[in-house]
Amino acid sequence: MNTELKSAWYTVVVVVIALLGCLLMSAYTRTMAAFAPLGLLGLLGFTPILFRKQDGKIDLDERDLEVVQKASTVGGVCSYLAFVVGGMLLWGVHFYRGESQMNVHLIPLLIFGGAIVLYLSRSVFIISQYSGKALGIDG
Amino acid sequence: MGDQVSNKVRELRFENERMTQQALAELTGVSRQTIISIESNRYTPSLLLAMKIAKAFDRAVEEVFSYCENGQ
Repeated sequence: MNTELKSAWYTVVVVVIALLGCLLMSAYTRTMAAFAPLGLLGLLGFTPILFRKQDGKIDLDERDLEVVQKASTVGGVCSYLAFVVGGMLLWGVHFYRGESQMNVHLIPLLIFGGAIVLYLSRSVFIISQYSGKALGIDG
Repeated sequence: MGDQVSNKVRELRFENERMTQQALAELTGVSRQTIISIESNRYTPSLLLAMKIAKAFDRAVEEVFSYCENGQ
């Protein structure tokens, strides 16, 4: 298992735990405090330290770089779509309710949501590429 | 079926004193997984890597890799 695959699994685990935490918290409170578990996403900052390249070992080659490039494209497209769809949904809900103003706090949440989608979709794509059957790239 | 590049990497490894995939990977500067993918025709290497592999076997590139039109 190379470092890209390890960090992809780490990202998926951290994001899923953070989102589940939000879901659990939202059962207890309807305030912004429900988003507190998103702070766990800060653990993603440790990725470069936790998954360092081992000296002398060939870890990433041209095939791995191809996978990473494709994953970054997929992640970018997914996050952009999430951002656009999220924005349209917010607008739709406000239009349906007949509200002419929108809470400004929704904007950073929308951007943050897009970032989560970027990391999650990128990581899921990397894992799928190394699963053995997809696109002729095995683990 | 689309165009494909087939190869004789596996055969050549066995001809070369049963060279291991790991040994070939180290010679060419890629991971063993990449060699596995190339051998099973699931990954088409770059020209540079193809040349490195051919050099590892002391062969010409066209002796190791061949182009198959429409999967023939």
